[in-house]
Amino acid sequence: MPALMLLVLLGGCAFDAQRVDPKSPQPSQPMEEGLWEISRKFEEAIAISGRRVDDAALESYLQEVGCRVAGPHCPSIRVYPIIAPDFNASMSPNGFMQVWTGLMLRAENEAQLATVLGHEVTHYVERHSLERLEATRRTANLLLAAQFGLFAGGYSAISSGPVRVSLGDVTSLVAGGYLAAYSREHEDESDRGGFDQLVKSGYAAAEASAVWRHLIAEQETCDLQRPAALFASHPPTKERMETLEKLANGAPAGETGKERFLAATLPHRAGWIRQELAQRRLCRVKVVLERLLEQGANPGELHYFLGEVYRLRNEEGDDGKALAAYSQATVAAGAPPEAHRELGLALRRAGRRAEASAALQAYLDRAGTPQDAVMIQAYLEELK
Amino acid sequence: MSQHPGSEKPRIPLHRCGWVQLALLIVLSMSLGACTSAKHYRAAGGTVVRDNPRVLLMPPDVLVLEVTTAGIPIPRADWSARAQHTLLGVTNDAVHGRGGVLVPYQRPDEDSAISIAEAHLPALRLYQTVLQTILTYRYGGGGQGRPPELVTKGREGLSWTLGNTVVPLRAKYNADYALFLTYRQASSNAGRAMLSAAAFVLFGAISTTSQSVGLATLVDLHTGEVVWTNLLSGQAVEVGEPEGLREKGLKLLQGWPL
Repeated sequence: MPALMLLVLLGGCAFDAQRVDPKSPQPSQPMEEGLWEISRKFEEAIAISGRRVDDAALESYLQEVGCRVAGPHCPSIRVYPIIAPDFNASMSPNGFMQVWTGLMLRAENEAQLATVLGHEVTHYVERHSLERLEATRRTANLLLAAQFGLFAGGYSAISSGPVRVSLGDVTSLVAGGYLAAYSREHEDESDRGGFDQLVKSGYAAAEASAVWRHLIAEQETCDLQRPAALFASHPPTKERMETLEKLANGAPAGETGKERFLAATLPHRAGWIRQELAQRRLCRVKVVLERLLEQGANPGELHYFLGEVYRLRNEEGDDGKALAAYSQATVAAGAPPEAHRELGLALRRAGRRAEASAALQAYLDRAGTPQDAVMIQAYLEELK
Repeated sequence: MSQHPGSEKPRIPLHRCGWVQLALLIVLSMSLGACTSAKHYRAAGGTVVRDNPRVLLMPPDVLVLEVTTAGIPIPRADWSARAQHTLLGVTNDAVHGRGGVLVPYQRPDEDSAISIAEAHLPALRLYQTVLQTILTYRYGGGGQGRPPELVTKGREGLSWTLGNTVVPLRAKYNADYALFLTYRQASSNAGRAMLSAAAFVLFGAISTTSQSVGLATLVDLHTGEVVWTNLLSGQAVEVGEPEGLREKGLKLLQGWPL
């Protein structure tokens, strides 16, 4: 009962900030000035950090997409591509956005990317950081008062079966649940705001739910104990995906922007996959690669990395699967020279000497003078 | 040198403000004892002190938070600006007192988030990495423990260098040293202070949410050597009354070789 009373009390803590005025994008109050100040410092650190992807073309592409969904807020939005192998994007109170490489790897087209960017822009426009901090402040104050009140009333503890729970724990739990709900409210608002901007900007509305569908598939197939980074604050519930699906039903047709997206991201894709592999998230990389293969761009590269997944996983039968994947890679478009090397080494392990030799030679022919040329030459000698 | 062997020392990098660092700082500030402590190190091989030194002030990193009655830290841009103004005033006076001049680093573009010119990035990034190592092997260990020992560096003094990455900095500013300053403070508001006093009277417990941490580093721009570091931790001071902050500033510069 005290917990219930407290929940009712906490209902008064919600705080609805004014939207950012695009003509005058400024902090609305002293507390927000502090938030912007911290964001500015953080942005300065990110801007010169080695984690920022060193490619002006990619950055200006992201900026363009961000601007398209930000509409009148475009001049206040700054987008930075960040080297981080997981699906995530984040928005700071002052309009600076980080887009992780793991997100760009997983997106299939510009509309999917724009879905996330539009969602993040809405966090900025609606001043969600300020609302969250203000709600936290108010809740904490009320919580403190409630704890004092309950203490004074003599309710120092309640019994719950065999477990004795102190009131401090109960009130914190209630407040925690309340704050999480407040955060979900922001997520819903950003989903809708982002979706509206997506449609207004002429993108294909159906792509919005695809982002969540793919993430749920990755999560479920790999039975993740620790959810992807974004899920901590953006729970990828089916309900959320279905809401976006329903919204898309009545929306006008739009473009996916797939060609532009691929032109900007394909030069980086192999590097991003390598980052993911370095994390040994083999199951997740496999899910992503198989999905991207359905999309068809540079299949040789994707088959090669699928071979790498099998080679690194090294389970029963993976040798054969790796060999088959490398083999497919070398006859498909976009395979890196390393696909021939790995095919050669896999054939060598399988005792297929002549084919191994041909594949390793093909690697040297394509790679120019790679660092491992001497080692490969030694293998070729041995295979003679 | 006011060394306090075995006293509690922060274990986190304070060189740049990130959300993670900020969160760590808040946790740290709550876990620190009430006493003020400063610990500095100088270059193991001694420092060449130049007459009338030109000291390049790298972009300072000052942040002040207000801790609400219920213990929520709220960033205060106005307090941060005031604290930075006071701390830089102290630093400027100190350099002038040695017949030197303090030269502020110029942002390449006032309207951009890029605070450091491209040519100076290698020095800055190397500094950040080196500082991380110094914090670990000179100030790390936490609690009552000693910092871990790095066999190549021993336990005494500093023997770290930024090498020739500092050449472009020296060339642009014709400076002898580069000074890096970081200061963080979490100040209890009036309600929090009253609550702490009440808690002390009722339960004998002392609130430790009002805390400050400062870090200063000096790099010789002729050699690239890190010649001095000082880490300060203690109670927060009143931002509105500059005297306390001036004292903090003086303590932050304690033991510098200039």
